[in-house]
Amino acid sequence: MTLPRQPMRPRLPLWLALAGAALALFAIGVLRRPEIAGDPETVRRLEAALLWHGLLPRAATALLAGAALGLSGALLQRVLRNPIADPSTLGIASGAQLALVLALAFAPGLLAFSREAVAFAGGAGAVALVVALSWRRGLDPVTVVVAGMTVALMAAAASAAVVLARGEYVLSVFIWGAGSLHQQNWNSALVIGSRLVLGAIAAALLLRPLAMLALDDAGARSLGVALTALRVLVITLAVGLAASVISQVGIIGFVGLAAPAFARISGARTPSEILWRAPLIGALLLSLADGIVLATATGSGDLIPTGAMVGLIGGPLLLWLLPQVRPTVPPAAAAADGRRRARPGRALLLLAGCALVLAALALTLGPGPDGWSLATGDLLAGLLPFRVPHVVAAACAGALLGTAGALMQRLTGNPLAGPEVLGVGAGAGVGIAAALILFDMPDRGTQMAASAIGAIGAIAFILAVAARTGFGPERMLLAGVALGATCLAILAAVFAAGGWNTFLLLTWMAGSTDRVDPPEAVLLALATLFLLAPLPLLGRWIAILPLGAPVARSLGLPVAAGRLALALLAALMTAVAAFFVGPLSLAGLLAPHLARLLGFAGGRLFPAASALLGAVLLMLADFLGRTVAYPYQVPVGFFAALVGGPYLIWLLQRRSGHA
Amino acid sequence: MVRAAALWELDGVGVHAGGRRILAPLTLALEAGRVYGLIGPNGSGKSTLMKVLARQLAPSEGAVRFAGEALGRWRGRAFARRVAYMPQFTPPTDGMSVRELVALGRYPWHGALGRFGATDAAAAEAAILRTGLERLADRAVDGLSGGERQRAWLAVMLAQLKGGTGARCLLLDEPTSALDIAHQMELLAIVRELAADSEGLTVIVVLHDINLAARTCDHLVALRAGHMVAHGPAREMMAPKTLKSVYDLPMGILPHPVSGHPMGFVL
Repeated sequence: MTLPRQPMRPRLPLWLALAGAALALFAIGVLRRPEIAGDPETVRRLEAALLWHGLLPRAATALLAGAALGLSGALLQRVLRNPIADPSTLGIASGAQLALVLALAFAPGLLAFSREAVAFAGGAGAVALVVALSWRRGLDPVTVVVAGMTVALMAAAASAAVVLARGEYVLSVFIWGAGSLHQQNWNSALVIGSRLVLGAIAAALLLRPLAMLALDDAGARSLGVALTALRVLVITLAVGLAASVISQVGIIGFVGLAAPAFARISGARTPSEILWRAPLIGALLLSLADGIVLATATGSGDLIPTGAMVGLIGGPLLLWLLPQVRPTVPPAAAAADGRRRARPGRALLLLAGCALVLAALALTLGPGPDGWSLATGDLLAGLLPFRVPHVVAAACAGALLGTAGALMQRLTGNPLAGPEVLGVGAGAGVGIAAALILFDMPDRGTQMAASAIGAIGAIAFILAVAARTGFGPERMLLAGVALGATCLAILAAVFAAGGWNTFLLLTWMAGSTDRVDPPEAVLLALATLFLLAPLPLLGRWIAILPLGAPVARSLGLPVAAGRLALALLAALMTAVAAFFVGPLSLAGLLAPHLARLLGFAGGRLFPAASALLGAVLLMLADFLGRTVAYPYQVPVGFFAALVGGPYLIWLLQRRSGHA
Repeated sequence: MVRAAALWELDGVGVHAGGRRILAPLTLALEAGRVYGLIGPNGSGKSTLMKVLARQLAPSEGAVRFAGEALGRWRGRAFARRVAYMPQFTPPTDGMSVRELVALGRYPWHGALGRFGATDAAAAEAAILRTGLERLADRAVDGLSGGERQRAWLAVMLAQLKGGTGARCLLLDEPTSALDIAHQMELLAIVRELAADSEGLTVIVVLHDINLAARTCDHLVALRAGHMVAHGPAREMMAPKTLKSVYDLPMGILPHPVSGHPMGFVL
């Protein structure tokens, strides 16, 4: 009865029509090319050069890159049994981009050696991280994409930090980062084409074991499939295909997602059908998108890069695919450690004491030109106006994110559901970006308003999607991921436009408390108090809702209203924190895990402890970010991701021993 | 006292989903203070019927009345004080102790903001005693054995129903499916006592084992492919012809060597 409804099946004529449309768009693009002035002979030769070395290779690249991405996505979806896996939802694209940014900034020689290898290393690293994070939950589709989103955000924040640190030098990467298909020769087409041929042969050889993956792990294994080896092999192949595309033309999201989906819709059922149709459809899709970009191009260049264009179409598509995703793991909080605190109230007070001591240290202690010193008296009085806003911002944002994370994890029963993946942070970013584009030099107030509008729009969107399932947790997570991915694509397009505005957005993306001034700190503190105040009243709902809708309803609790209240609160907290410290800090993901590890479990104590721990974490990150590389500042978000990411993996792996 | 109408009145209650009929229109009255067993093969609509009674699922047609009042007209918490439901699969409890879990059962009484008072504490304590969990009260629920965990959830329901006036009802969806025979007997013995003692609870329980159902219940309601094929006192239901109509298997009946209760077996 949960069978997805059979959508209409586009037949051959439709595909031919689409191919015709792609051709027509390309033709329009060719015809609308700018006039070249000069004597007829030169013009003729220039035009020929433009056609043979610019437009035709571009068309070929679009076809081949689309095919490669389609195959890559089909392979990933097959091997992870996840209908929304693709290079962008698994963080492969962002990982590859981070690797390229790092290489460009610190070891340009590596790029000269092989861009593709660097991109592959980054993509493989990202996918390894995602698999490691979701391994304990049996690669459950929802968990995998949530982990992928977290990794993608981590990589994006790190890229932003590197770009900020190395200035203009790396900025050019961002133009590439949004997937421009501009070509000067046939190189890209040849590189991608050769990889595509190799990949297709390998996929053909792997067809039979891939078919076995329709069974669950135990079933496949009992039929003699070397499961781990097969997984590693197929994922390597898929990452390789994606990396070659990314190294040549940059991030083009969603083609890998859409192509296999359309293949299924068009009636492909067996793995072999999907695997050969997906590349064809991918080629068609990317050609269509690029055709639109080409046909709308102005004299000075494309309006938006093709990758961003695809991203804009891809988000809604992802949303449409959501009903096909069925979680394989019933929602369940991480297995209990069994450790309980005997006197949780006292432990909470102790924690609050620690937070205060840390705040005092952050205000007074710091490195100066002649080593570390504890500021007192007049010096302290002089420093306080600078340091207080930072510390307040870090503490408040940390508390908000920690609480939001605790609520999200309780609500969804998914240990990887940080507030970051709600897409609210990325929505705030799009708001800021819009302000930067619409107004020349917007002030902080305008930016704040724009970010609030973006975040509220994102919240409304997620809740509207989730409302259809009575605010079911999976649907909400997936809607958040879809929205986040779309917003990241939009941000990539803005980065590609360049300009000084980009730096503002980059600072925000990397996460920092630098620009918080005293009035803003007061505002943030008030907002924090206002948002945390209802928590003690919601304690019982927070305790009962995680037991699932049947139990909650049986106890007479208004399930949909309860979920809505908690989700709205978490989203608002994330939105406020996102404006001040950026879209990612991992504090929201880590603090609840720490709270549980320390033995806080009750409906009131758990969020309270998460809030305190979040505040401690961000104050620590802020303090370290300010002092480690003194006199330079390392962005808070970057620092938190650097420390928090590995710790989170360790934490989740450690628990697998218990389960 | 005036003899009131039946506790549960079902009037042409049916459920469709995705164009398929899961429960054919069913008309039935269930009296207070008895133990009713729902039996039938897999996919016969037992769990669906339980969900309708528990207000987890709105019926596609027909009307259900509890204590003379249509289900839709009951307020959430007021209904929860009278009817407690244990789903077929009890959820993980994230490190909660037995006592904390049972205390959650008092939600219908104190609500989101009310104080967890002495009455509530006493009700929770009594429920723990009733289910014999006093020695395990501070242990984590997730760490208990299957039988102990089912008793903990039963204690939640008892705490939920404790106090107030009027007939109350327990809805148990296959509470014994994951238990060994000793724990099945233990749990069902508690259920039997609950119906027999001064509390006089009404129990509706889904059971797979026909002999266990006949032993535990006063009354059996048999479903097959969404239709009610038979219902009546447990002893009368234990007849070869009736059982064949329920399970579509040739079955025979023997008296229990000690108690003399009828027992079904496959021919």
